[in-house]
Amino acid sequence: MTGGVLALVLSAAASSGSTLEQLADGVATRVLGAGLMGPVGLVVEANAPVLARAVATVVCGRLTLAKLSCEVLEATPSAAVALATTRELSTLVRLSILTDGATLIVRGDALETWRNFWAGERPTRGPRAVAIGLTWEFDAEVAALAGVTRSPAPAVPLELKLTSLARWGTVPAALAAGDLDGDRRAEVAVLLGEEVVLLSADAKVLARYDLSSGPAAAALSREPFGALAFTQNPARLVAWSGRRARAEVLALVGSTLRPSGAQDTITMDGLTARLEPGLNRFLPDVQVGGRGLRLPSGFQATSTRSGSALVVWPDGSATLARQLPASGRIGDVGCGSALGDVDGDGVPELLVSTARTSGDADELRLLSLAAAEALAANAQSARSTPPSWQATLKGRALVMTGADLDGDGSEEFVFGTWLADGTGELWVARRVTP
Amino acid sequence: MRRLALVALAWSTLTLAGGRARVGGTLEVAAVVKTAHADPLLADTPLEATLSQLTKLPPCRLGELSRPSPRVVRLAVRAAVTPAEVVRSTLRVKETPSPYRALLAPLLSAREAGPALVDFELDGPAPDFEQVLCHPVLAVGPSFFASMSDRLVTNADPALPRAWLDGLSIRATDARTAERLVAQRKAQVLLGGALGEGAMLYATYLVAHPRLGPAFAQALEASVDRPGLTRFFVRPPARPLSTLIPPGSDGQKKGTLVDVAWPAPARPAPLATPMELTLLYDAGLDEQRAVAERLQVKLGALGYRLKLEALARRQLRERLAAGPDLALVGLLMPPQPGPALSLALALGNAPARLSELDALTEPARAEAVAERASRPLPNLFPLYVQGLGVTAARDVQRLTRDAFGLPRLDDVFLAVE
Repeated sequence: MTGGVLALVLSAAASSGSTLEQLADGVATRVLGAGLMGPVGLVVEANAPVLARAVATVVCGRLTLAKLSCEVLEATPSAAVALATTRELSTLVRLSILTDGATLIVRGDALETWRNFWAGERPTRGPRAVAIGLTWEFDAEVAALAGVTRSPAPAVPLELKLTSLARWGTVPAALAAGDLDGDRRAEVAVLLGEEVVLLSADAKVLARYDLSSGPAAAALSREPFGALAFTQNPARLVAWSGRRARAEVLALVGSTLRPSGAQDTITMDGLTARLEPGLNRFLPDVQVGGRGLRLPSGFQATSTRSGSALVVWPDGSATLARQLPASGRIGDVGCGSALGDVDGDGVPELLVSTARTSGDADELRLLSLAAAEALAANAQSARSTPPSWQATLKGRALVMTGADLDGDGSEEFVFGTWLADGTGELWVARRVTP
Repeated sequence: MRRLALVALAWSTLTLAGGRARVGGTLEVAAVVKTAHADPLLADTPLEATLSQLTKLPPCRLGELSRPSPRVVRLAVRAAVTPAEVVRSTLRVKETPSPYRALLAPLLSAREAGPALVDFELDGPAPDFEQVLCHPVLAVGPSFFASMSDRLVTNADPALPRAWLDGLSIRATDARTAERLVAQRKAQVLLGGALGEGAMLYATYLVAHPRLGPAFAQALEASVDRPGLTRFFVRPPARPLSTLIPPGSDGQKKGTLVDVAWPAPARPAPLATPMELTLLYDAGLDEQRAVAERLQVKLGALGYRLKLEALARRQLRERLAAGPDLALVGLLMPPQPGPALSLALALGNAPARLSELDALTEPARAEAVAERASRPLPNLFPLYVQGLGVTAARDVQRLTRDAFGLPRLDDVFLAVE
């Protein structure tokens, strides 16, 4: 699931299409997948006739590209079967288009119109058919065609409480959380300089490991950067300092982190990437589910939860998607941003820092997923909608992850800040139970 | 007033850790500079040293320094420079007639100790020697940028951290044009303006021939008003200097050095027989010309008739070695008090190696240097000390200064606000 969502998100980032194009691709994929043959008759109904015509035009175009000749029928869905038979169309596609808030819903079916002449008085239809049910967060184009005005979903009251977990003399370069010791509670791993520090949920140091013995990177980064990831089966911690050429795979043996291999890539939430030598970002060539992708640019952070994925880009924007790619990016999203299900309802929330690159303070804003997706659909700044909760921080939040530290089924946000004096601090943001 | 349209970045906020730095872009710099010296030994004004360090780095930034033994400082060269080049460059500074030789007074020899190692053998512990190796006059290539036809581009040397910028475009011009360029957003950084506080370590001295004796010293001290001279004739940021080394030379931390004026002696009677003297000054520095003319007026009233002679810096240094009547000399003082005092003493032809300080703890050393620096030399007259004014547009981020007060343009990045 994770890999699939990321593939979709990143595919969209690599070649973003409009909602209409994605809709047409989705319908064509299902028709072709069901083995239906051309010529195809297409009936589309929608509240807005303009939208119905536009959808029919684009879908027919996609089907024609797939070598299925297509004809738009002017008929109701029930009368369309007879009309298609009369016109000797082999397949009929019937679509009903609805808009709900920021969501575009496409429902319908595709079926064969051919009847078995030899079946007698109760003729049978061909066996190929498929139901179609698709949703998208629609873009400005669809909004214009449907004649609706987009507005972000109202913020859900949700309050977080910040607690300082630890302070260090250096800034945290990377952060991850996962269960390494098998106790079903997440541990937190922090990269400080070239040292990996594994912490318990209450910030007790469980183990340390120095990465400086690895081969040097081809170029040095001017600011601390790196990546950490937990893997399961077997439970391992993968750590990569920006000053090193490769990632080290570490196993927790008792209270010691021991090396158990090295690798040229690191997989974070299903996304396999490499650090860009000398810079503070990942290379744009990534792999998702074994499939290679080239992104529009390198990226600086990623987070995936419950089928939603967040990718933060160096220009201070982020791509967010659920089920299908979002058409736009959210502006003013800093590297210290992540998805996490803090209320335990199965739908993650998004906690974002700002993209500012100067100053000694930062601002955290908690957004519901729906609000965040509305921002993405309209390519708006994260500051342009009321957050569910917000707080001002001393220092800059540059690394963040979601993790269930206390095993209660809902997650906390763990993040690291860079302070003005060159030191760092680790924080946890927990939900205040009503 | 147009400068007010800019954001004069306060250094206190520039040292903050910010968000992830952005990569790319070309920084447009307007520099108020007349000449560009390719030789780091001559490019020693704060502005020239700033520009010089874009393409050359001092040894301490070329790799890791260590002390395999108390009298050996070892440099593990990381950048694409050979140990032989470092040795050659260092020995050249030690052997060239220049006050900066005093910085290397503790150095007995420099040699290649391996494929990427340089050993500096010292005549004693010389605890400040590692910091001395950060002085811009010791710079040797490469650096974070490489010269192209019309700009500097990021050096691809993998041994050096890549600059955030893709390149730098530097336009040398006069002060008014530079300010206009920045006001019109055609330049993002102004180097050499009047704004921007940083360490002031470029000290200007009047060096007198020893034969002039205490009478000249009395005449000079009685006639020269350092605060007035600095205020009216020296380009800011500047302050009067009345100790042998600038107050900033104690690292701006301990405040051991107190910038107090020496007691002005009584004004002597004019010489019965006027004395003809030649005053040399740096033709590349407008303020030296202005100060020289002021000294001409002030000392002329006391019977010292000064003939002013403007020289290129290289010639000025050569003539300095020959012992001129009078010379105005500017030097970039190290931020450490010990090496700074060595440099000042060398300029005054006093023994520059202060080995007796080596055994002292750092606070005791700073105190001893402060005490020594407060005592005047008979033929060396500190006049004023300058820093480098820097203003930057809002999108120029993480503009910090090094210990010499020089802006670290290699660490700058451009924000997308």
